[in-house]
Amino acid sequence: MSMNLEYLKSILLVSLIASSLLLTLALWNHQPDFELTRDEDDLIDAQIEDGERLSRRDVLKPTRIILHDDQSLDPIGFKDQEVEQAVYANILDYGLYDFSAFPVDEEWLDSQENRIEIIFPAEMQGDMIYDLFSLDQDTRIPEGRFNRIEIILDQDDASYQIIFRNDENQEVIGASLQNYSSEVESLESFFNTEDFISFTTYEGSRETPIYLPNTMDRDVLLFSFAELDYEPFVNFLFSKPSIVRRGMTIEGHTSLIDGTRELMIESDRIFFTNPTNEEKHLEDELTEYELFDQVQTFVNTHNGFTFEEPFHYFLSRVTKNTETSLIEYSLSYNGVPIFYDEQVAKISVAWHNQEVYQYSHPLVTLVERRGVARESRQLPDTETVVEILESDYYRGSSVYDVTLGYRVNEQRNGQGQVYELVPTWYVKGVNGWQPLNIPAEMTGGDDSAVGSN
Amino acid sequence: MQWGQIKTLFIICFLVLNIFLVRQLLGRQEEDLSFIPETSREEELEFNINGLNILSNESYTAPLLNANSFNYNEEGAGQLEDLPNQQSIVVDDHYLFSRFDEPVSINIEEENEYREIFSQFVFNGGSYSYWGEMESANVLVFFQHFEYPVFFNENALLLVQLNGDGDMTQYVQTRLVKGEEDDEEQSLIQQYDAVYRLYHHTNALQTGDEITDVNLGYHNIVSLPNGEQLLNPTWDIEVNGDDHQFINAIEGHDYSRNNDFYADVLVEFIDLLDQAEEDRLAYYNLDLDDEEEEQPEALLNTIKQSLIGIYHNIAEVESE
Repeated sequence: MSMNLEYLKSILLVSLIASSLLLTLALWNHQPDFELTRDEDDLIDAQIEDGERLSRRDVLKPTRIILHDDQSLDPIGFKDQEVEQAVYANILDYGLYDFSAFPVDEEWLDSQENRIEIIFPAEMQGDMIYDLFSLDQDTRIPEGRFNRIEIILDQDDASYQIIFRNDENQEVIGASLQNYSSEVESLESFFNTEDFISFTTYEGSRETPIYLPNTMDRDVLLFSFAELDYEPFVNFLFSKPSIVRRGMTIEGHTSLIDGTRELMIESDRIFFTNPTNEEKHLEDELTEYELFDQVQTFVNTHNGFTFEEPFHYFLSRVTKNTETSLIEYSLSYNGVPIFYDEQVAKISVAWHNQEVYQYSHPLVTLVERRGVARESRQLPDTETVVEILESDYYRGSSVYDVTLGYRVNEQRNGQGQVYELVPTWYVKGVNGWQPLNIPAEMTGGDDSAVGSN
Repeated sequence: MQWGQIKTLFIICFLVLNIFLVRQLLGRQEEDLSFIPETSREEELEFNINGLNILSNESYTAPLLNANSFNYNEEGAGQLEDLPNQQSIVVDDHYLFSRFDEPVSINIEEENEYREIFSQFVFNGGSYSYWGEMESANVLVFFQHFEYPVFFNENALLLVQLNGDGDMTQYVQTRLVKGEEDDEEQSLIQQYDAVYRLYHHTNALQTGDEITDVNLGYHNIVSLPNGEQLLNPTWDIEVNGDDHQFINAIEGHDYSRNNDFYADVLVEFIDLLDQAEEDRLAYYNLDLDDEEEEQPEALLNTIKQSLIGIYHNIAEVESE
């Protein structure tokens, strides 16, 4: 009898030990299922074959890096855009710490003769610093906005080593830099070894300096192109692509509808509208950073960044008001922005209530450089640009920044259809980047004719 | 101590340990569950909105309809000529304006009665169902129906104007015809889901509102350049007896409301009459006994002036 009881107890003990081991294992392996499966995005084959995904950091590109140096009279910058991009990449590897917000002492900043100024095409929310410098979320960055980064190179007086500032007010975000002296040394060595060009300083409407390059490349470049298939756009912009009906407009565009949404296929771009999402609901209002993040994810979901190196897309405008929330990406060539023609050089997403309202995407990608067509005679030199900005033409209009970029034109010549990149001055005003208005009497000659073959 | 006693001790220890581990595991699973918000969101809806008990649990299906504007001149000329007691103008093939020689009495309260009158006096009047009245303008609004009504579609509309005695004096009609092909039946979201989405995804419902009716119909907001439409099955949710909200019955998104729909279509109809050149107009049953040269123009003007009158009446109400 007692033998039997002991036997039962042994079995009970062994099974208890086994179950405790199993339970422990189960506890260890228990993975809470927090992430909602978002497979609907992945299920349909709705990606652009040759498109790419870009990280947020990939699209945050400056228009210019300027060095203020007590050795030279005018501010200077790198002649070679590739060097400039390498330096920028180097800067983004800096370790930053100790962020704080404060009103900057302009006099003090102006007196800093040795500093580097990085100027961005769009104003950004302070949170974007996390992406730029790959900071971890534990780092606290105070609220603020910036479109310029200043790195102070004077080691004696560097109470703030790096400053994020905007053109509108004096509120800046300051931070300290790890290995400050060695980073500064390597930065300076770039400026000692590389070729650079000088800049003319012009004061913009917000009383901030605008830098215009004194030397410029006038070459008009020719490119062949590839056309994108619009089918993937149909597949991810309509919830039931199979029901979509198509027709032609008087202009010869193809219009696709599902009774609720419309996708217009033009010769060089698609334009999508979901009219039911026109009105913004206030309770769904996002911060600028969340807006940027969601739009970036939206475009990435279908490999929406379509370009061939050395072309690239960069964030060129963030608009957020009661009517609309809009993110725009513009194309650049070797880091030089192309703000026009918008049809082929801009991706824009109006994002309402955490969903797409309107979407414009080029159907053309510029591919291979076919050589130099001619020199642009129409491009005014820096002195003339300043003259124009000070003339009646720009009296009363806001000038926030000026840069030398390209405009892209479609050209038909003996070799068929090509696109050309024409050096063009752009002015950033209330409505974003627009080509400089050049009064007729100031143009160097008629440049619209196709150059000699 | 004996081996037997040691075993008993161990059994107790492991029993306690196992109880603890099981509790830990259950606790973690509950944590996961608490992230699923659905139950509380449903409770919130049920707590704040009345009338949910009228919603049907049935699963509905309906096809998407592909439709084009009806061409009155090509397909309806014979029928138009046979309509009694009226003179008609067709503008741009797709818009029918008709004026009765003698007002026709109508009683909108009696469905059979007005349907009888309609089949006699209104072009294909049987395929329109009553929607409502334009406030203070004495105009009855009818929507064309393909099994279900087509909501607020300027190409599937019948506006009937009444005089002070409540008799019909004229009407404007637009009409859609279904495309040839058979459309596949789509399964629709349930009425409850439609109300759920209306409550949680829009501001249309306020606490204390009551759902008084839910009906199926069709809605379209974008057309192809040639006028072709794709009509989407749509739930019409009647709130507090008079307000209507529309939810797409396939995808569940809401349609933003065009509060100026009546004013917009009136402006469009008036413009059509105003700008139509002779070759875009077709007249039917013109009364030519009077030997008046200006007869067609007089008819057009009479209809137009009435429409302008309606427009001013509803515009006044809105501005108040």
